[in-house]
Amino acid sequence: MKTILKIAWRNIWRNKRRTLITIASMMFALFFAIVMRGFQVGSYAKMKENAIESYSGYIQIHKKGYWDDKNINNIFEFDQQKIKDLESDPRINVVIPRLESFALASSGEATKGVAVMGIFPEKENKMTKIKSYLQEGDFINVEDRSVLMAEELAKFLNININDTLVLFSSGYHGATAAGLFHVKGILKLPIPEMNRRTVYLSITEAQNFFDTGNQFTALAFDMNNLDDVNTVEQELRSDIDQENYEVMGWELMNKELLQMIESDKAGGIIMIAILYMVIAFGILGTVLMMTNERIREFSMMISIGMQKRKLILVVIIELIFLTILGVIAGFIISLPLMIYFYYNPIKFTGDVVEAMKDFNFEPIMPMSIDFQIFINQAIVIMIISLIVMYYPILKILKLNVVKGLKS
Amino acid sequence: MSVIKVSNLTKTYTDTEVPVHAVNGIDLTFEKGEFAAIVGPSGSGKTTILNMIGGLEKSTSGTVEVHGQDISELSSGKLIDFRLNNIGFVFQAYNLIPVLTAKENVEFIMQLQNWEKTKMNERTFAILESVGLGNRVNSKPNQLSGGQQQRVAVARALASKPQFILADEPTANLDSKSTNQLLDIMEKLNKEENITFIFSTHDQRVVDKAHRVIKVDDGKVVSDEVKN
Ligand SMILES: Nc1ncnc2c1ncn2[C@@H]1O[C@H](COP(=O)(O)OP(=O)(O)O)[C@@H](O)[C@H]1O
Ligand SMILES: [Mg+2]
Repeated sequence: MKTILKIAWRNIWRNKRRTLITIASMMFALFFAIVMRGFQVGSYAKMKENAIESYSGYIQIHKKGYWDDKNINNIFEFDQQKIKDLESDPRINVVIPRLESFALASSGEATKGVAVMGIFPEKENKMTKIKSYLQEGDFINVEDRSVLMAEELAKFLNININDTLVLFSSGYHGATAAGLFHVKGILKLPIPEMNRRTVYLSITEAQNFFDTGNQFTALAFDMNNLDDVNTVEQELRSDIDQENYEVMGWELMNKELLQMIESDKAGGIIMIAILYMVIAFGILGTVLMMTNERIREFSMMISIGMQKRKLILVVIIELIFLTILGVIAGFIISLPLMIYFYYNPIKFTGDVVEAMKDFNFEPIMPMSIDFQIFINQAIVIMIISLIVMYYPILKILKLNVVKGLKS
Repeated sequence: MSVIKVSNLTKTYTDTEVPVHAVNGIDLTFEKGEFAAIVGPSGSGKTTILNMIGGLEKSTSGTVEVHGQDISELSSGKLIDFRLNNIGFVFQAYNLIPVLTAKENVEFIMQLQNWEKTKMNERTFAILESVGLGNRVNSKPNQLSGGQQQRVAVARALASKPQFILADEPTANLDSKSTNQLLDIMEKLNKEENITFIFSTHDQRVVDKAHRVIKVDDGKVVSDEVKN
């Protein structure tokens, strides 16, 4: 075995240039694939995190049918004690009740349809870290009659701190809802869509405004660990009266986002696949040459008593060495870049920022350094090698030593 | 018992336009310690005969027995092990594994045979010494002359103490000085190790060194003389 390893190792260095070119091609393929996937995975994770952390939470409970018909009449009462009980579950970080609906907001001449979120400010902050988005002014508390406005909405309505906002909507069972609110703070929210149209007010104010009494549109759950989501979701479902309530997981609530991620991911994967195809032919070319130029040598080795399977082992190990070197080289050149971008995510500037916001992308490009990305790309290269390996194996199995010696 | 007994051996190539009768009913026996040359013009069938004796090529009819064992009965995998354990090969050229040193090339067969390391070392140095390459043990084939490479090949063929050694035109690519050197070494080792050597050639100077000369033409043995 030692001899076989020795022969294989030295064989790959017989044609140094060819070997280096092959390793380099694997290295660049890996580099591009890893870096690209790193950006993709990083962005997707960030998008999901934003969607979950700043809005949907991991699980929500609604009145049955609410999600498909977000109507102020689809609301429910939920016992505060029960919420406390749920929160005592170590898997659940916080359960936040919300009353959410739509309204027309105006100030001066400008009017815009907005999302009104009635929240328990401190509780909401536990999940969404909403306080940290405060750009100007102060945060609200439960008793406040004031509101917090999303930054772009405020800009659109030309509203500043301490200005007055008029909200106009229809309330519970068709009641007219109208009110004047004092703007206490401006928030720069991470989801561009929300940043264009959200107004927060304390839940009691919202309940007054919409005339709902002590009712909510949603209970959002923040979990301590993603792994528990499914089980808790199941438990809630079996605990709760399914006739009147619906329990939804974050994937269902963020369906559009996930679909968009999937299609974007597919695009990236096609690009990587094309890249790998090119590399595969490069490796195949090398292996073809490494095999065909050694037919006479193989024949000699079999003639003097080397079993074909040992010879096959030699060529397999040669390819494994090449692959390992390519993979290591690929890791070595991509890792520093990935780590750099992980700590210094690319921030887009200029026109592209608006375009990205239109697609609901935050205009930064976070990098993921999840080791799985490296592993996956290494596996792809290894699979390519495995396929390419067929050629020398078949060639050796079919080798006629007498002809080979004469070649 | 003879080391090799060839009976009515024929080889006809039928994958050609007209069938080629490369070997045409040959009977030969070789005893232990022989130093025999198969001589004949190019195309007379020397390589084909040696390949059949060495189990590299199947005969069309007839048998090759090595120590009474009919080698045509062996499966191809068994045949490889049979060659490993019984036959030393020297080819006309490209005998050596290019990435291995002289020493590693000589050890190659013994390693396949799982020799014990110190014994293998001893044997390797001794045999490289006796082919006159004691000072070139760590040279790679491309650092050696053609004659030196053939001497390494002979050393490798011999190191594992096979039943016999087959050498197909081992000197065809060598100048006359290297040819003489190689033959002297082969003759010396034949005597010292008492190993059967069968080699083919069409070179008269090589023929002169042989102890037995088997002349072939058109796939038939035309004469078979033992010199004193
Ligand atoms: N694989 C083959 N297919 C067809 N004919 C062959 C093949 N190998 C050898 N021959 C023919 O068999 C004859 C003997 O060849 P060979 O044994 O190589 O002769 P030598 O070694 O004496 O030069 C030649 O006529 C050669 O052309
Ligand atoms: Mg020949």
